[in-house]
Amino acid sequence: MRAHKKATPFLLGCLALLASVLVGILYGSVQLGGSSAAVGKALLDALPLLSFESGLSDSERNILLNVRLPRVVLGCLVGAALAMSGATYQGVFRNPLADPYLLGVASGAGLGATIALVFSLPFTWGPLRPVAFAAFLGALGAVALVSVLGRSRNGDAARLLLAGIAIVAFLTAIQTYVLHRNRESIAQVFGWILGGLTTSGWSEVLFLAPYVLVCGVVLLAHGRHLDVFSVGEQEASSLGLHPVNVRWLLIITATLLTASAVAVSGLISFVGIIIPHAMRLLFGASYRKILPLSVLYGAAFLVFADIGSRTISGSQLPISVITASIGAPFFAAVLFRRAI
Amino acid sequence: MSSNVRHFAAENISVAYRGRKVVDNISFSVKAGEWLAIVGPNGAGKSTLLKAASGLLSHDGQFLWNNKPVAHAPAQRAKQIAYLPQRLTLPQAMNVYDYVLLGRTAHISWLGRESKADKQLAAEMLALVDASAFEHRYVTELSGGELQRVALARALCQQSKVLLLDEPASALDIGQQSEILQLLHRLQKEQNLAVVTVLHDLTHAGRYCDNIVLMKQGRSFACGHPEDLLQEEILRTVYGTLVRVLHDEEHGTIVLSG
Amino acid sequence: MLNSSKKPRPKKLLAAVVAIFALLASACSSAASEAETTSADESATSTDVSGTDLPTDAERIISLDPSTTEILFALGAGDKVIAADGFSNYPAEAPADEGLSAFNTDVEKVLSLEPDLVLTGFAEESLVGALETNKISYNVQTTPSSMEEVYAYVADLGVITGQVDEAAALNKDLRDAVAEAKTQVEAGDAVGTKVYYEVAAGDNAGYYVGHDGTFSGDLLTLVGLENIASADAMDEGNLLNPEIILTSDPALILVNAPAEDTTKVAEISERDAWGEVAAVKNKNIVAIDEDTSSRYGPRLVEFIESVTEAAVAVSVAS
Repeated sequence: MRAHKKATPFLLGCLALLASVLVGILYGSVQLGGSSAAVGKALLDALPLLSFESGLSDSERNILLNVRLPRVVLGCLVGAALAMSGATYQGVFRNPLADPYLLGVASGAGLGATIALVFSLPFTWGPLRPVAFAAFLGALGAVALVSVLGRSRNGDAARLLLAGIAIVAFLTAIQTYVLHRNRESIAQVFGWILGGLTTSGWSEVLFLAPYVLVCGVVLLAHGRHLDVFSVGEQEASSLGLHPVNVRWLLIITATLLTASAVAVSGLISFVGIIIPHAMRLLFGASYRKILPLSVLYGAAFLVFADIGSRTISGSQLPISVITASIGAPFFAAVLFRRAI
Repeated sequence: MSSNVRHFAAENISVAYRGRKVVDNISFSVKAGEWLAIVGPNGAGKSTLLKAASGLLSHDGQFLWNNKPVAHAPAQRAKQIAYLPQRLTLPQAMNVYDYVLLGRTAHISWLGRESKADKQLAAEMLALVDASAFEHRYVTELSGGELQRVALARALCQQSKVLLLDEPASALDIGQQSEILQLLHRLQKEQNLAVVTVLHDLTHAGRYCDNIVLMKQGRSFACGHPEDLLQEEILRTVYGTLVRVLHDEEHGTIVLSG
Repeated sequence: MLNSSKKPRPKKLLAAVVAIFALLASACSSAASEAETTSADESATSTDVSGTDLPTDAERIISLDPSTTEILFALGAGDKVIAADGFSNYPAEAPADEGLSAFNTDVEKVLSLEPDLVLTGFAEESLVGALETNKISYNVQTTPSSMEEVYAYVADLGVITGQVDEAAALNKDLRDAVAEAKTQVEAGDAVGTKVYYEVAAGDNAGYYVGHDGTFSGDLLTLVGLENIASADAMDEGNLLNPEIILTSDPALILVNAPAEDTTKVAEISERDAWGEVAAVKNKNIVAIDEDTSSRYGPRLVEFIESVTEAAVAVSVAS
């Protein structure tokens, strides 16, 4: 009976993810093949060994398999990455508001993207286009800077957050300066900052998938360590955990994961905070549950948010408008609960 | 200091904060099955000494278990020494059973998980401190006495032979105080533990402990058996105030201020 | 839309930052040049479009730029425009109801329309990537900085749509309008009238203006007026310092505004310290329909006419 109770949140999460993926594939800004059934057939037809007559034109099949499908898959990957990283940061810093954006991932990526957009940098890297590439480098550079500045001999985590605040302010100032000098780029930079899952095919997915796979496995394997962290670094140390080693491993992994997600999707806000908190409130505080559940529900949430962003208004609404308009009230509710 | 009985020893321990010596050349030794109290006025360096012994502070001198230096790596050290700070950091929404299970951390491999034996041990330790009844409650919902018992169970789960406790009874009412100290006394005898506690209450120290280290301004002012140490003139010198020491046949040494 | 042209780059102060990126990325830059040449090249301006491999027989064009839409329709190629962005409100038959935009483009919708050519004013990465992946031609036209660039772009669109003669005719109309305006300015004794052309009020630091490095500012010079704003006078943020405006003492102020909107004229005449400017003293502040002035297309003729009319009126009044 106990096992049954434990499995329920996972089962629900799988169902939510499945539903989001189905809806995301079946409905888009154009109706493919005249019916959802045709879309389903075309999808099965694309699988090896299966053959179905879907009635979709070549162009429609191309849109389904090379625009819509990668977009849904990218939504899953980005959602899972942001939610897992957020949960990890909250565990490592024992701070409910922590996420990788605090250590400069967002501002570093923002500065990188701004510079690439303003100066039309031509550099690409593998499947990464210039803006994504610059954002990736910017995010990693910022966190590296924060880590160097925030080092402390006794491994005090608060120092790192303070260094993060300083670097974020500094990078934001540079970004504002660059934008001030190049106002004609403001619309483009703003568009990037708002984030979105616009894909140009499978290249973004191919870039992100290895990071999500490797970093995801590392983070999921450390749920028990994050639970030990919940008694504070000193007690964790006297219980036998090497707090500094574990902390750095997890911070680096979560940062790399977020940076790779941000590079292809822009700064999608709030997913890293609301999903882990929702898991905590609904299913308990153990990171051994929160991490895997964040993968499922984070992926489902972002795919649903993306469906909203492309169907709610005539043109595409920035996805952060959706995530933040759900995230902010949720957050307020959590704070209200805490207050009483 | 060597003996055939296993023992935990501190040799010439010094701890400095920014050049100021907070603990200055302290040595002591506790045999397995014995209880040592560290007493002294506030600011004497008692908690600092205990933290150094638990590996949380860098220090000069060394701690020995069975004449061998205590391990440096947290995982090895946690199997030799269990430590409970004066104020525990309580995790949100974690139940008592899972909290006690954290004591097994050092015994689980990096990517492993708790074995059946680990879980059974946690249940046994909960029973030992008489906390099985509330194993599903959150640790944040416990009374001071319950929490201290649960924390003790967590420390016992480490299966170390040395137990370091920083003021285990200070936040409790007098009923809970004697309850926890009697429990500790019983466990220490049953499990043959070397126990070192910082204690505030000299009466408690005299009643439960085999030996006392009396600290003042980082130094060891005196050490020895309670009946030798708890003398009015010694305490007056250390605490700088008038003290009355009474001897009661039933309750042992009673120390009163003023 | 602003008529501001891009400033020369890179800025000295940021050269170091850029250099770091350049250094980090140099190992991978060879892949970049490869990607850039697969289709129309962003850095190639309109003067060079016919030199690339854009089709000359495009039948299904998507225009994500309102000026381009206007030109295509003026060339008689409107029937080839299968969709236009939401800002393409002229001519009325422009198919702007698909909810497309050059920013955050709905790639799925663009592909579903099966275009063979996409014309846009902004190179959004996901759109450009999808077009390259699907081997669909595209061109990115940034705002022209002179009338010569406008003529060249019109001619290029003529080549692309196979409407070469119509393009030549449109360019002739534009050139004729400029020549006619020049004659009128001369006849009205308005040559050399000092003009300040405000595109948008900035913040306290200055104003967005039609300086002589923009196609609309260029037009002022071409018809014989004196544009008080030169591209060199613009600050790093592409704003004109108000002190320059006040010391130049323009006789005519033109201001971009939505059609029928007079609030901007009133706002300028009430500005502190502007009361002594000749144009303000003599109430020579004229609102320009921003749709005709901000789009480099056939309706520039209307812009030219309203500018000329305003300039001659100043001369007559004095």
